[in-house]
Amino acid sequence: MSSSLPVRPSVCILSHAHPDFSKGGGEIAAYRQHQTMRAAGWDSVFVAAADVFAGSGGAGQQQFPIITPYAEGEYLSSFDQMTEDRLSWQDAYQRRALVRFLAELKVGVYHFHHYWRFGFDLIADLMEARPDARFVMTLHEMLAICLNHGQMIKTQGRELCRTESPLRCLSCFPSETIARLTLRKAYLLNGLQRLDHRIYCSEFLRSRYEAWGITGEGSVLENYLGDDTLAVPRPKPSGTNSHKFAFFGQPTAFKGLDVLLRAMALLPKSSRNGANAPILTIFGADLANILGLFPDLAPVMEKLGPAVTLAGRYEPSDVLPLMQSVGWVVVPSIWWENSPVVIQEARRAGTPLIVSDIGGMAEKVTAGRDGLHFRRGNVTELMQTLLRAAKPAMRAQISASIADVISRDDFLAGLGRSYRRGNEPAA
Amino acid sequence: MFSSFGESFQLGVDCMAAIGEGRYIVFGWHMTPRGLPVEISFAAPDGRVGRVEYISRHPRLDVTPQDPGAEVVAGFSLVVVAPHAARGLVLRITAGDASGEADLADPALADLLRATAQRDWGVNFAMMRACMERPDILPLLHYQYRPFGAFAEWMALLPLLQGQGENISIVTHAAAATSPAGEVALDLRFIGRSRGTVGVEVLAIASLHSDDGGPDHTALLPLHDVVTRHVPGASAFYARMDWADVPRLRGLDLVVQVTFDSERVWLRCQPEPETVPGFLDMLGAATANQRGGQTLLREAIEKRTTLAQALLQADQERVADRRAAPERAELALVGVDDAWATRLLHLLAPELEASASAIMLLGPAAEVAEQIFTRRGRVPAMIASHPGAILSRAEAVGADNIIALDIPSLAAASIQGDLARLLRNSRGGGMRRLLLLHSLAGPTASLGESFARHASMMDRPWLPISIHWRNSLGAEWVNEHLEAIWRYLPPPRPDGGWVAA
Repeated sequence: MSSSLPVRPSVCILSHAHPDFSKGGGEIAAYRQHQTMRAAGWDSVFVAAADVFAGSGGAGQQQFPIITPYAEGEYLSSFDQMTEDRLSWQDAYQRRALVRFLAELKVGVYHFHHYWRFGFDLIADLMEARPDARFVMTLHEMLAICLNHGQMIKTQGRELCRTESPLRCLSCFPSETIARLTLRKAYLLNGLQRLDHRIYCSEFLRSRYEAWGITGEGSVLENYLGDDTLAVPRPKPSGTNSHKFAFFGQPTAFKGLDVLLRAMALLPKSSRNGANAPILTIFGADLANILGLFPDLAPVMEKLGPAVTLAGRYEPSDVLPLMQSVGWVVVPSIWWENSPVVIQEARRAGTPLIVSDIGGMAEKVTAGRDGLHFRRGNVTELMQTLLRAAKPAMRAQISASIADVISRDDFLAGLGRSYRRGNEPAA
Repeated sequence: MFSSFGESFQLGVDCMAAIGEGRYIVFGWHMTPRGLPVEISFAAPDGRVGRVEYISRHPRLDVTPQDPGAEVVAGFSLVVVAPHAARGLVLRITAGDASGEADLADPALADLLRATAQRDWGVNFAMMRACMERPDILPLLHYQYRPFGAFAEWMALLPLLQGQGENISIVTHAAAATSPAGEVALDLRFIGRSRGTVGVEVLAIASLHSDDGGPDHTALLPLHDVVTRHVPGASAFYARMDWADVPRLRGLDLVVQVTFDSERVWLRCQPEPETVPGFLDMLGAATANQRGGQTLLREAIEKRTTLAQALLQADQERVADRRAAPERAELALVGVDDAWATRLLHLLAPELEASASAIMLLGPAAEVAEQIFTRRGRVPAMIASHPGAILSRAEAVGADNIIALDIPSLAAASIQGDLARLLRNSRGGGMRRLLLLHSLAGPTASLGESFARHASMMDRPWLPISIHWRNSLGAEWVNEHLEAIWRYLPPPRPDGGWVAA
């Protein structure tokens, strides 16, 4: 690789999806990065693997090319000819064609936001084709470490997993073999290891990858929420609405909404009466969603009655005003969470948080400054925390100290550092 | 074809077929007055004499003399070399002073396959054994380049057992297995206990891999270290083929002749390939629970221990003469089993290419892996269709010019960031011995697992081999035996060399 790069190199951002077609956190972060860099005058190209091509090439269907121009500085790539798990290529010709296209972009940095839908075989070939370029990857999750959707939570029960090893993974996936799990790890670890720099969304994520075996250059850089979101003014600190709690997002078995509802139901009778009785609003789910996941919560929901409001789905652009309309945002996940965007949005909104005391949640919410912690999955402790939080003085104290999210300048500076070799001058 | 030279002097010829190089095989029978010497000779119509190279006689129960006290019937099989450019052959038979001639020009006699299929199966079995002992004058196995040659139609008539079968005449259950060391075993259960003689004879017809990539070669292989055990109602058989043939073995048919009192049964068994522990377990279970039943396993273990010692000793002597390993040897990658292996090889390709002059790949996904290296074009890559191909390659380029690595070790080294050290330490890594160990005592069918076990023996205690044993006493003996073979070989030194035994 070359010894000198321009201070502000041209960058190709590669994302496993385009937010126009799917709304996952990783692709949104990748696209925001592209938009932010272009707005700041960087030379950035965005290449997104697009599932709009999935299934193409069959009889009577249109054969999509491996790469298609999509918008100014944006391309969509097809992953149709990859293996079913989208971790490598079945069709070597298509892989070579995509490598050739990417190599000819002549950028100084290839910044991947995932290896999924690109494959480390493609990345390795591209590295050989462009030995002068720098290769960076943002790791948003722990898919490489954990077969259970990267959640590092045991498949039997909901016990947290703290360390990966093929033998431990075998107890979660008995149909696998140690040899196959070892080969999987070797492939993914080797692929990640050969990158020039890895960006982690949280210190927690970095520590997990380093414990897994990653060594070498890496940095922690929070995802940027975008210029529009950063432009929204934060309200003045206050103790108002301290009794109003909210849950944001689509519930899953691991988001801990069941823990939160049970904690609400456990609140003492004395606290449930009066104008300042704790109430919970759930944004992003309806009753059918909740009872579909947790059928045994039906009597709990009935008991809670008007103390719980189901607000249904919301537009992402409405999230800050919605958060600003409540006293606390609760993130009660029972899995680690790497760097939840809900926490970033709440901090941006200036709304204090109540979070589980593990992983990315504990890291991104400093207890006593940005919010309060409770022991993961502990209903009683969450109930006590809700009672503490419902006091206006507590809400006023936290809202006065809650930290804002990363600024555009800091974000770009962090990117610039990761694109620079150790001895290169700063921008 | 039938010729009568008198009431007590008759000749029947069933077949006369050319078998190559001027040779003819002739099947027939003669009836002659009892007590007279009988001679058979051949001549061309122009009077030149043919040379009988081989003759065997056998009973012909299907030809009955009018007066068995005065006449005797015998069948014959012979090979005659016709005089150069002879235009036909005349058979001359003499019995005492009497003689007769038969012109063998009848084209109906030339159907050797049908004639063989219609003969007494015991005669065919004996003829097949003769073909093994005298392949130069009895090339019947390669007749007309057919599979099984002249025996093709007969083989198709034999009851076929693929691994095992049941209820074939007096045999209620039969199982056949083969081991990676070229051993064969038979487990036969009978309908009842015999009153007298029980015998089990086995001929092995192997399909051997051709190093030139051409069609496989078929051969009757001699069996060694034969052990048979008969207990009431059951028999078991153990033998092994020549070690030199094992690496090339692609397929095996056992032609089995069972004698049970006055009954005889013939079977065609295609043995089930077993792991070494599985094979020995089957052998131990074959006649278990009967007095003396376990002695078969004991004796087989003794014989294979002797073989293992001889082979490993010979190999150590070769190692002692070894020259220094070259800087860039050929690399044999074993255990290229699935997509994860090929994915890893794609990533590791530059490092592997830098340390190897050529790459050989063994495993179900070898073809995909070969394409990775071929497409890159840095070093030649080739597929090893079976473990023996690596050994053959070692013979061709010299054992020191080829190093073998298993994919699990490669993966483990990659995870540890130790790939360069692994490649460095594997030089002169005793690939031949590893293949020997795998064939003689490999715990599973995976060569990769044998590699891993060998590597771990340096710093870990012996890990007992665990399968679903059919016989616990056998399990104990087999484990002891396999451990002894593994321990005979000193573990590798950390620097990749070998410590003294």
